[in-house]
Amino acid sequence: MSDRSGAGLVELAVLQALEAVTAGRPQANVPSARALAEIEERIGLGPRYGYQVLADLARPWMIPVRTVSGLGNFGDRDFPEPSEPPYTKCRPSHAGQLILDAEAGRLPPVPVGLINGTTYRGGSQPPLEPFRVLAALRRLLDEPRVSDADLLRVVGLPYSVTGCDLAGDLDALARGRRTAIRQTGRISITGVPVPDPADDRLVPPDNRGWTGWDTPLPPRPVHLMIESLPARTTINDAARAIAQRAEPRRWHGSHAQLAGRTALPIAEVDDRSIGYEVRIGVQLRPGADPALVRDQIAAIYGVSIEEDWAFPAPLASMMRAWVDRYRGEDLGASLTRLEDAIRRDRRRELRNR
Amino acid sequence: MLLAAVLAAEDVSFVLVGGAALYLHGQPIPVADIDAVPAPGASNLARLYAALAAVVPGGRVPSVRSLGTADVVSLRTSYGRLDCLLGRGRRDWDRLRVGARLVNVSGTGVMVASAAAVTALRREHKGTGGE
Repeated sequence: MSDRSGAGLVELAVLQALEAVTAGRPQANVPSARALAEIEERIGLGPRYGYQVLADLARPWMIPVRTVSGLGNFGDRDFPEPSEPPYTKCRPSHAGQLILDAEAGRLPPVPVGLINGTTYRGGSQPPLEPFRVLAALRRLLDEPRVSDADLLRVVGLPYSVTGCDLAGDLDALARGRRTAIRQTGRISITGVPVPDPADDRLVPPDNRGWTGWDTPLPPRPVHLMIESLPARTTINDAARAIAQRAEPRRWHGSHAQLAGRTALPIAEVDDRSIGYEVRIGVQLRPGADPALVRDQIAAIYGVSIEEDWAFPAPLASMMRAWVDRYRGEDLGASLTRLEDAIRRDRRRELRNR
Repeated sequence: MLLAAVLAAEDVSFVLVGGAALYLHGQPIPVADIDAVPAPGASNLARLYAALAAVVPGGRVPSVRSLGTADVVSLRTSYGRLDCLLGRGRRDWDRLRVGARLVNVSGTGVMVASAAAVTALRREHKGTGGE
């Protein structure tokens, strides 16, 4: 872990390689293939591994503060594979540039490592909401004797980059204990009425099907909408997992109790996602209870995952240590610059979508 | 635990070991995944393949041939993580069957290795640093 930004060593080497190939022109994007060659030259990390790191640092659903700005197809929630390196471009993001400046001593330290945590690279330190971290650190700068409880109220507790619900002993996590945390995708009940089974019988099965060219198809009713998924679950995998549960299995009749707990009364799974936004519509079969099916879908592995998370020390102590360590430098200015950089990166991200 | 019941309902012959087995023996331990020792034999592996294809999103499952030679296959199913200890099955199936008993999981019988066998396996696993 680097000292003045908390960036991982490989991540920092990637950023330094990008800085070198952009030749000090921070707005210049370079082909990823060129950046990867520089990374290999510097630290011996081969292009295939280097590209995984580079892509993760550019993906907004992986980390709260992206340190690489990507141009081109770095993948999305449906198909995370990026285009080949010659077809994408990259440069340090505004926040990434601040990391480089802080590490080189050109700027006071920036708490990017504290915000991003390490879960995006398979570690166990969870991410935090960037603007709440900045507010908490400012509070510490202004009021060094602020209580831990007040500090934790400001910083909030951990943060799902993809907007999932978190459950577990979050207080123990904040105290620095290793804790099992469950992330569950957000599933809303749309309020569209589920047809009664009797209505479904009005059209005999023999008469269903093609109704002619001129009959416009009505929009499919969606009774449940999945609006977020854990970062490493692709939309495609989640949709397939749900659809698999709707398929009849030959044992459903002989193992009725098990079938009741596992088979889902779903007529259709409709992926309406665009880019990074998850929107999987679920149409229920007549008579199904939306709340019950929502809970069953939420229990599907992938829609919900459990991981052990841990801060290396109590969270309040980590923030105090960071502020105390660098109190002699103009931390207020670096926090303001980081806030500005995050906002600019997010605006750019929205423009590029 | 539902995964073990689903595999049993799919007529896969296996013995449950690991933390899930100890949990079903009444030990209050967290269950993070399912460790199953499948019976060796081509027909069982074919049933295992078909069962896995129905619970792994996208059906990305090793071929029956791979299941017949692999030592351990780890998969993410829609019910949770599954470790198939195939090499253990080829070596110790008959021994693990002795003392195993059927446990009811959601109305389906799941064959669970004896607590002594599970504990011995876990000790061996830790001693060798892996399967």
